[in-house]
Amino acid sequence: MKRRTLLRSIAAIPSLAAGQTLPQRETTAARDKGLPAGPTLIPPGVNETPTIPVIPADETSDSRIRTFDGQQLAALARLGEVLVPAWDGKPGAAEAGAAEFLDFLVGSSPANRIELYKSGLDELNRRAQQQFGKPFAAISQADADSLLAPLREKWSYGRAAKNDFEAFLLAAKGDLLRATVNSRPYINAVSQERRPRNASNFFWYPIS
Amino acid sequence: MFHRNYDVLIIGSGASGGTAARQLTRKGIHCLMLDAGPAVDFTRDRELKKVYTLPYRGFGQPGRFPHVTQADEYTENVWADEKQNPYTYPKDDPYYWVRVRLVGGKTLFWGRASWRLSNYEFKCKDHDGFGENWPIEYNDLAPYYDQAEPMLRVQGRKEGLPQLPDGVFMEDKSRDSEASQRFIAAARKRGIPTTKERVATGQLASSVNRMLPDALETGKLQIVSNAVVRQITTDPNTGLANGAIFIDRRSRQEFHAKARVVVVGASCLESTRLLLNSGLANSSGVLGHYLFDQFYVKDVVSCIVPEARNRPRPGITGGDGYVPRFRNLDRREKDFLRGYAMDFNSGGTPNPELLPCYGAELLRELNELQGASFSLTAMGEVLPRYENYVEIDKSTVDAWGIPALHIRAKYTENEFAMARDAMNTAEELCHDAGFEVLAKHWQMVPPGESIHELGTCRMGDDPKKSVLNKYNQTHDIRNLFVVDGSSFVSGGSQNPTLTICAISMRASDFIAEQMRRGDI
Repeated sequence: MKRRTLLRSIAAIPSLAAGQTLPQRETTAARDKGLPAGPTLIPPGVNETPTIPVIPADETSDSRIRTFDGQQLAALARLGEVLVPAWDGKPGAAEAGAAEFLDFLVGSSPANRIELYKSGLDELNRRAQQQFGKPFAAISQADADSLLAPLREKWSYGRAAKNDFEAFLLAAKGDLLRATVNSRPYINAVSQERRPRNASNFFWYPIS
Repeated sequence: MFHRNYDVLIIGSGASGGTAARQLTRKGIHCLMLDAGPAVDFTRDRELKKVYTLPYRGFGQPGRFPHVTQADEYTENVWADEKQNPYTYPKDDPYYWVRVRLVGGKTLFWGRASWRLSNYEFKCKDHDGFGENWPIEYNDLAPYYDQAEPMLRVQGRKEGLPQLPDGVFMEDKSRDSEASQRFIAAARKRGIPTTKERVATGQLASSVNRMLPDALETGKLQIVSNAVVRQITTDPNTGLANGAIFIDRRSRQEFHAKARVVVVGASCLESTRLLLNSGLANSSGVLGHYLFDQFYVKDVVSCIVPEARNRPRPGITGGDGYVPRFRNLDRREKDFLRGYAMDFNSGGTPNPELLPCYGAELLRELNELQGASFSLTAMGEVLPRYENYVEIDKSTVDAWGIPALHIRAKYTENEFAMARDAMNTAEELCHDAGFEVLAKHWQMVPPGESIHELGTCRMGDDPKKSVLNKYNQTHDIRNLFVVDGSSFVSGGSQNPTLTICAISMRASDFIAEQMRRGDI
């Protein structure tokens, strides 16, 4: 086809607004002749803006460990098993990936929080090694209980500030519990309960 | 050109600015309102989300808001960014300045407690000799409280207490839970009053749905959002205020808004900062001084209601209440001046950190104790002191080049003694009520954290000792008014928002009358 002929034939096509397809009478005519309906110039949906489904990173990949060394992370993971075990059909810290999440969260935090965790995990390993000849990750529940005795003392607001190791244990207890109950596996489990916990709220986007 | 000369320029759109706009426009006065932040679109700007879908699992971005304990990961985008809006304080005396830069201001997120002040506050010096009386008394403000309460749809219970005047509010007829009844009975035995919380009601109780719509309906209010006001301007010939220079938050383009009268209601410290940066209204030298708030001791006592363990039946716990100030009313009875109030509530689950256990035992305890907690928070009066003040920090500017504030505020032994007394009293009452006390303390949050900052443009009859007269008019410039909490002379232990609204209404009526008479 010559270029001029092509341009003339394009000009003859009725103009269409966005989202319109060819007039109905043309497809009806094709059907009346027993022919399959021809392609429309703008197929249905071509001008729609679909929302593409995506899934969160933590459903597909492991978090990269960047804050704690191997012994520290192993101690934190073991601490999670002891402090927040799976219970009553609900996942614990291990299933919630709480230790790996805290590696990310603590690593994103101000320096004093990073130091509290690193020195606390080191102290936990030092005490385990000194008393039981193994790192904290390898000791029994009973042995772990003896190292965690401060968490069984009656709460006092002034106590934690007097001792960095106790301050670490108290922080880890709260953070591991929260990282667990706010996790996807935990909330999926409790959503099956008769009175599910309301784990939703209004998230505010940046307001421009 | 579209600009015009307005009757009144209102700077700020929260409790005080919104109320002023409503009061003035309903009297036929044309107002222009400037707010530093954008307007909220509740449909577009927020979305229901599961906590695990948030980037930090609900913990929030660490370190983003070191001074805003109220910020969580759901709301952290609504608080004023501390890097864009810096301020400074002495290294060892942190001040927590909590700000919202949105149209509607902090009324979008406030706690809604709506108490009246009484003559124990307005005439505080007459009672104990400390500080200054307000230049007004309760009867001056009562007619405006009568209007402010219906505006905010306040609900409460009338008790006839002189230190906590009743008002025009919806009667709260809800039944007290058994735990509340036991606590109330224990308090009554010791002569300590209690009442229901008195709160603004509705899904939203904000300037954006209670004040601004009424003003806009008159057709006499125009609002400019994203307008960061840098300076109030004056006529060099008359010395009178004639408008304000503002900067578009996004583009940094500068504008000059003009009006016959300027009303500042940008919140206590922002209003003070604006006046200091403008070099106005400070012939007394007290502008910025006498900063105070209310100290808070959160969860001063935390308890378990033993009978509520395992939720045997409904009605044992639930609901909340309030212990109004009861110290030093008719006689000096303690080693401190003034007094404190306490909120109490029950029905939650105790904070896990308070339970001396872990593992399966902790999880079992938390399960059994759902709804079994009872706790109190103490809120005490902070004495206004000249030594607590703000000034311009010339070495620090915000994102728009406007000099920032340096804030110096400390609590003193009077507040510490009050906090200790609150802890001991709360513990005694909970013990008498048969609750198991888990923990007690009197560690108050840092100054500012209660978001009740007050006093830096105080009212007074003496122009040498105050910035404003009894109508919130600056002594120095007769067409310049400050109508927010900075005008307070003392604050009591009551949450200040209702009083801010009442004061702003009263000042607005005065402005309208002065304009009608041609005096301003």
